[in-house]
Parts: sequence; C-alpha cells; structure tokens
Amino acid sequence: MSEDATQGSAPCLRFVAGTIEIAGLPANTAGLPGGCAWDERSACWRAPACRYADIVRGLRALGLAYADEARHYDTLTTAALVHREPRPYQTAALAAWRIAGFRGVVVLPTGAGKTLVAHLAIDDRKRSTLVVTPTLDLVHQWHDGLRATFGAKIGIVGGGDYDVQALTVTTYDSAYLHMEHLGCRFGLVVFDECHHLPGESYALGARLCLAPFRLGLTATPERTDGRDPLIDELVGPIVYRKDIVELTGEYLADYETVRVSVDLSADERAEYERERGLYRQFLRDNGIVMTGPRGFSDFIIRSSRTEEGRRAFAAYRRQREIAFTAPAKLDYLERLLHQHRRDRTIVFTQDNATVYLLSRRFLIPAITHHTKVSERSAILAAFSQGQYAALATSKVLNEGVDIPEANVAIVMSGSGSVREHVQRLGRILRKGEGKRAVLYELVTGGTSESMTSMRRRDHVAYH
Amino acid sequence: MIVVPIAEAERPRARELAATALALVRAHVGLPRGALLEAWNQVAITPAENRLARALFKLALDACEFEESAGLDPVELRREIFTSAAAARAWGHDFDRAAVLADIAQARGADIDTIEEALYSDLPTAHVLRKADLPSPDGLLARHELASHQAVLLRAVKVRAHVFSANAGGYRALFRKLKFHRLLHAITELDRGAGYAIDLDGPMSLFEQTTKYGLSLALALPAIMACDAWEVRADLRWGKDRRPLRCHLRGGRESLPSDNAGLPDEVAALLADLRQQESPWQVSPSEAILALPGLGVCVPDLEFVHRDSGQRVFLEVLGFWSRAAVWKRVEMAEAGLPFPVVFAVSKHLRVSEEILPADAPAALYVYARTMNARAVFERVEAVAGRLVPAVE
Repeated sequence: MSEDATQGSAPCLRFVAGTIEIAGLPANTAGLPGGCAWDERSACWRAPACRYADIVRGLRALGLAYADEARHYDTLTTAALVHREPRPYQTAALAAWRIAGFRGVVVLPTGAGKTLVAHLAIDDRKRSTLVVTPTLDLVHQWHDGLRATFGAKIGIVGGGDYDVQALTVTTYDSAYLHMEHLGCRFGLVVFDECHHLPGESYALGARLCLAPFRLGLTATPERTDGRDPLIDELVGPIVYRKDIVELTGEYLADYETVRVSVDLSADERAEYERERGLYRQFLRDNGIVMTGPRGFSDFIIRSSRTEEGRRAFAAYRRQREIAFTAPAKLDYLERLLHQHRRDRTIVFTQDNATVYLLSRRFLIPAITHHTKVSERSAILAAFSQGQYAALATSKVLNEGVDIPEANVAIVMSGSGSVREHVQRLGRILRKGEGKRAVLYELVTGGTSESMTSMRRRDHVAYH
Repeated sequence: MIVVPIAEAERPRARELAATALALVRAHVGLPRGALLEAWNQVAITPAENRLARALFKLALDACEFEESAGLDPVELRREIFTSAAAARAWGHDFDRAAVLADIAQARGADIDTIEEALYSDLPTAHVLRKADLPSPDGLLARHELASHQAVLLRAVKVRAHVFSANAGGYRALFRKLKFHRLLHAITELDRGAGYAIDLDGPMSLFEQTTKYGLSLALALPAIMACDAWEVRADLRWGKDRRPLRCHLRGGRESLPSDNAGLPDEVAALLADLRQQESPWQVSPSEAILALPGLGVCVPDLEFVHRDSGQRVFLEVLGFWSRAAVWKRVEMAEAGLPFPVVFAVSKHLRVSEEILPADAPAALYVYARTMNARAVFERVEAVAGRLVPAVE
C-alpha cells in the first residue's frame, strides 16, 4: 500500500494540513485551476485549501468524476430561532453577498448591525460556520449573540478553550495556529473586522481554510500599507458599502464633532521647540522621511546607532509627551468631565502611560491591555449601569466592543490613522432613544498634533 | 547568512556587560521592576554595544521571578476609589481629588501615600523582584548565543539538520524533543554511522515560504545542539521584505539550558491509563530507535514488555502528524520492522486500520479524541502474535 494507491481510479480530494491534495491524477494533467502545483514529495497535485471551490469547479469543468474526502463540514439542521427584522440596508447587504457568489465584504459603520448581517448569512447558507474575530472580548460577544439567535451550543477556540461546534468562534491568532487542523470543518467563514486579515500570519490562516463561502465585515476596509487587495483574494470584493453619514439620524445616533485647540505656555513652547528641533535635525541629517512607509522603523534603527541618535529619540519622545499631555489639555479635560458628568464618556489616548496618568489624576477607571478580563468586564458593566460616568483607554477599545450607552468620546491623543479615528467615533454611535453623541478632539495648537489631526479627519464622517 | 558568535576580542567587554546586568538584578531583589529598569538605563553603554547589552539584560530578566506586592488589593481599591470619585463628581461641585483619597485612606486606616502607591501596584513596572535564578556571566553569554540562533530560526521556512551522537541516548533525546514539538520531520540514517539527517518542513511550503513552524524549530534547537556534532542549514525569509537567505549553523556539544522534554501530554495520559489496567504487559516510556536503512527511523513513545515471556512491543503515537508520516510507517512495516509496533493515528488523518495487512508486524490504531487504554492493549496483543526476528 502506498500513497499512490488511488492512482488509476477516480481522483480524490483530501484536506491535508491546510492544503488540498488531489491524488490519482498524473503529473502531466492539464487544465487544473490556477494555484494547483505538482508535489513531488507526495506524488500528487496540491493547492492551498482556500482554492477548494475552484478545484471542485475545475474538476467538474474537465468532466472528471472525483471523490471528495476533503470537505468535512455539515449542513446545519436547525435554523435561526430568533428572527430580528433586518433593516433595509442589512437585507440589501445580504442580497449583494448572494449575487457575488456568497463571497465578499460588507462595509457598514460601527453600530449599524454588521453582526445581524452575519447571522442572516449563516441562516441563508446553513453550513458549519467559523467566525474569526480580532480579540477574545469579541469572541465572547459573538458567542453570546450566536447562542441567542440559533439556540445551539456555540464552540470557542482560543483563550484556553478548544471546543469545536458547528458554529464556532475564534480569534485571528488562534485561527492561524489551528486552521491546518480545523480548515476542513467549516463551509462558511466570517471574518469580523476583516481589515486585519492582510497581516501575514492572519492571511495564512485564511488560506489554510477550504470554506467556499466567505463573508468579511468591517467599517474601515482601507489599509495604509497597500495590502487591501489581499482581502479581495481571501474573502472577496466589497459587495456592499454604507458610510456613517448615510445612516446617521435614522439608524445611528446623531452626532457632532468638536475640535478644541489648546496652547502651550511660553516655557512649554520653548521646550517643545527645542526638543522638536533636535529630533527634526536628526531626520534631515539622515534623510529619514517619517511619513514614508518605513520612516518610523528607519528612525528607530538609525537612532539606536549613535549617541546623537539616542538623544534625538529622547527628544522625539519628549516633544510628543508635551503635545499629548499639555497642562491646558488636562485642564480642559477636567472641564469636559464635569460638563458630561451625567453622560457616559470614553477618553481615548495614544499610549498607555497617558491612560494611567489620566486615571490617577482624575480617578477614573482605565482599560489597557494590562487590564485583566474580569476587571475589564466589571468596569464596562459599571460604566453601562452608570456607576462610572467616564473611563480612559488607549487603543484596546478602538473597535468591536459594544458599549451602547457611551455617548461622549474625548480624543486626548491619537495617531494619524483615519481608521482609528472613525472607529473611535463609532464607539458612541449606537442608536438610543433621544441619544445625541459628541466627539471632542483636543489638539495642542502649533505642534505636530495639528497635522496629525488633519490627517485623521480626512473622512466623510468629519466633513 | 552567517550567525557570528561574539568575537574573542569583544568577549571581555561582553562578559563585563553580562556581569553588570547580573549584578544589577541581584541588587534589586525585593524592589519593583520599574526601579530595576531605571537603574539599567543609567548604565553607560556605547551605541555599538547597545543591542548586545539589551539582549543580555533581557536574558537576565528572563531568569527573574516577579510578583505583585502583598498589601492592599489594587483591583478592589480601584473599584472603591473610582466609584467614590464618580459619585463625588456627580454632585456637581468642583471635583476634589484629595478629599476622595483622604476618605478612602481613612476608611482603610492607611495614609494617602500608601493608597496612591497601591492604586496600580499590579502593573508590571510595580511588580517586585522576588528571586532570580541567575547563571554566571559566561552562562549568560552562552544563553545569548543560543537565543541568537533561535531568533534566526524563527524566520525559517525549511530546515535540514545533520546530527551525530556518540551514544544512542543523545538521538533518543533529540527525536523525542522533535516529536514533543510536533515537528513534521523525515529522519534518514547516514552511512557508516555518521548520524542522521533530519528534514523539517510542511505541506504549505510548496506555495508559500511560511515561517509558521519557526517557533517549534527554535525550541528544538537546544536538543540539536546537545548532540556531539551538529550542523543546521535553514532557509529563511528575512526582514519586512522577506528576503530569501540561507543560514548555516554548526558546532559540537553545547552545555545549554534545555527544558527536559517529557512525554507529550496525550502519551503521558495514556501511560497513566495503561498502568491502571490489569494486564500482563508492563508499560514504560520507550528508549528505542527503530531504524530501517533507506526507509527511515521510527521513534516509539512507549514500550510494552510481557511479564512472562519478556516479549517487547512498541507504540508510536503519530497523532495529528501528516498522512505522509503514516504511509512511511506502513512502508516500514511492510519492509519488516525489527519489533512489532502499534501506530496510533488520529481519525482526522482519515486513514483506515485495514491498510496494514493482517499478518504485518504492526497495527494501526485509529482513535477519535483520546487514546483508549483497552483498545491499545487489544492491538498490542494482536501484533504480539506476529513475531519478527528481534534485531537491534
């Protein structure tokens, strides 16, 4: 008995460690779909598992009978138990996904109900489904939502759990680790916040999965690294899109954005200019363009090589610190916390050090990646119930986590990323009775923050 | 790519940096991590030696045990303070931070400074260094060299290792380690006792050069380096642009810290179950290597010795390994193994127990989730009857 035992009989498809093996076809077979390659090591044709649907179609087109031992996913025996009436745009999104051959990306703003679109898609296809999310918080959020809708046991892979069910939720990290074993067990895969997918290892996770039906969900598909086309390859094209301004009022909370510019004192200004001058001079001397794709990593590498570079790096940090935590900003934040003491306010910062500084100074809870899950859940619950009126966070609450009661966002500092800024706005837009949301952006005038602020506001939501 | 060890001329200074890092750590036992980091930042280091110094300090930190200071529970303290602060702010008067903290301090019978200090005492920078199991400066440098090699292998897409060990125990330790890390490997015995060639890669390497297995490769390196002579050639993808590079490492026996690779969890659980059953077979972890020239090597996990006849049967757990590994074992069984062997294979590999002829000196045991002790004994009994000439 050998691996080639099936040669001479009908070709046989098998899922092997994230690839599809086509055994029983000779090496000179013509007309197989793109992506298939002859594997000398095992004397069979092989393709990444994500080519499964193309291979099946290709074999059919060649008129070849084949045995399919690759697919190990089920047809769901139960339908959704709870049917929430979809909004018109959710129905339209599902229809567009169907027309695109059950592959593609739906772009909807935060709070518009992307999860319901996924539930509709699962109910439509009725195949074993894997939902892939960026964080464990979202895993639990999806788990609870799926269980409520489908009334079935929902599997979880990640965070110490390994329970695979017909409907299973996992993280991108766990998908990368386990897809070579799990990749044959799902017919539909939902990539939540699918703008994460083009990362190298996450993309590999998607390639190791044979699911022919794929749905991507995001509010912000564009990436700054130019890898967006990879989403098209791994999930499908954008099949439906609505932006914040199209849904505001009727389906999302009304909102306003307020940009507040504060000034540095004369001493702070002098120190800022001195430190910034040092840092900028180093960039000029070394021909480093910080806005280029490798600008920052170039700066890190070169600044570590010389004493002058290390001084420039210290200067870089100091001038940022001055701009991010200018005393006038902190004073203004105190005013806003007082003004909105009966609202629910999330204060966003660029870094964890500032989160803890704000937490200590204003005695408001902090959530960072250091916060343990139990404390984080307790803080969010207390925030929802009104026991806390404000909390401070850096980037960990930027996306996904559902905090419907939040109606005020204060951006103390942030990057120039449009996506981050839109996501932060999205956190306060979940529709509520009579709710009106407001996003404040505090910017230290006459510093590099002004330019950063202009870059991140380059979105229709801020026009 | 050549991974260069620390040059002899630079070794005294490297030893000095290692000694400084170790001394600083020793001096900070009982103090917070933040204080240790701050002290390290004061050490005069030239830009040229910055990378080495940071790496040595990191390795010294890896040998430390930190823990939260025992005192006020910071999570509960925060809950109390933030709740009081939110209530105070809700009153609408000017927020008085000091008053909130003073009330809490009074209620807890502590002073305000203690309260401030305890507020975030669970953050990593506040953790207290309890103890450090530190090597000598030369030991730290040896760890650095190992870590440098491992860091390279993290970017490996394919590895070929040649190993030689003067005694079989060295090979067994290595092969067990490779199995422990679930590395897909093909082992070929080299001519005239020159050792073994080990190839490590995966199916996806046909389409993209993935570094997915790099961590496992890096973790296996100490076992390779423990052989009497070894050589590793690794195909790498380097840097952001994933530039193809080949790395060449070689050396003799190294005295390196290596975690003792015990049995994989599922094998250890099976062994415990087997020992609880009443059976004429005595079961123990296997020390054997079954080699068939030209066909490869089988490294059994467990050995069964019949209490009366002394007959030996082996069990190798293939688990979730590739189907190719199963076919390789089938070929070996057909060619004639020196001892009867049971191969345990997960059903996810989709192989049938019938692929081995009924008279072969081996059997397949296909299991669903976990291996069952009774089912294993049944197969052991079945293959025990198929005697093969005992050759070692």
